[in-house]
Amino acid sequence: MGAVDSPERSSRGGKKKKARVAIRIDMTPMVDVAFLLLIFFMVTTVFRLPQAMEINLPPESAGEAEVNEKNLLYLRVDPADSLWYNVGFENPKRMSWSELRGLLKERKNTIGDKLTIVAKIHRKAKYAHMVDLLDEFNLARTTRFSILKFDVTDDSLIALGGGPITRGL
Amino acid sequence: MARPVKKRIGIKIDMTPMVDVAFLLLIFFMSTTQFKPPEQVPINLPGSHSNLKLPESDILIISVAQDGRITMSLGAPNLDAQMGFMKPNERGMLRAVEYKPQEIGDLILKARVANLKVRLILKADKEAEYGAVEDVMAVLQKINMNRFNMVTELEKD
Repeated sequence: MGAVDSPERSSRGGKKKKARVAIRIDMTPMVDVAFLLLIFFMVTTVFRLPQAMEINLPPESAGEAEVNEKNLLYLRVDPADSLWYNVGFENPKRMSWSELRGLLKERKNTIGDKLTIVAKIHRKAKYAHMVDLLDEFNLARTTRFSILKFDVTDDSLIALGGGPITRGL
Repeated sequence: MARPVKKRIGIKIDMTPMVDVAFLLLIFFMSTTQFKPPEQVPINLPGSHSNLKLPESDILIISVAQDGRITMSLGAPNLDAQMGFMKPNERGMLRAVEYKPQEIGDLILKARVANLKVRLILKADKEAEYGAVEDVMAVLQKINMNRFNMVTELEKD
């Protein structure tokens, strides 16, 4: 294995001709390693699968539930993709998306499982924000939330806080 | 009688051709493999922390592209052609049919009749307007298909 053939000497005096060396390399180990690696990567490769997020819509004829206004947290997303929040009947205040997790945590700690979230997303806002909101609700282990239509009332409420006025929803 | 002792023969096989062929095949498959058929409507998925696996069979995917175009798929081109979700264009290539929000309700019910186990998957572009998704969800609510999965990409932070 790994034999290197010895050159045949044609040492017949005269000029010293450089002898050709016939090299023969055993390729078995290389092939072994190549296949080993190939099989290793084939077996260990995990293709990145998309994840899923489950959502249950309430049936259309869902009954109404009475909720104490103090337990109610409104989250609104305006067409400019800003986030507005208010508790109960307060006026909406603008907040950044990074503050959302802290807010949910704080609400959850003070109110507990009674926390009910109403999310209103403007039609012109990005779909990603709906996923973001649901994701944060899931992370905060909040199960009581509803997604409602962003209507003209929300529009004027946000305008009170200095938000964009978007007629024609 | 003494058995004639079989002479051991050292076999030496030249493996070069085998290796040549193996690598040739490897390179051929590497270069020709297409991991995912190129999507007709590219969709950038939003990120989430959900780590639920997306079901792979018995699915009905409702795709909402960035510009709000809605297409549907059962996850396999032959099934799509059967259901009419994909139709051949003038060059004979299968293309996804675009639907209006008000049209998808009947189609979902049809798909559900064909396969009772079908699960709904909403695959929307993260840049799509929420309104387009809202319309789809309103339809789902109307036909009482209240449970569905939204496709997201795993995000870590």
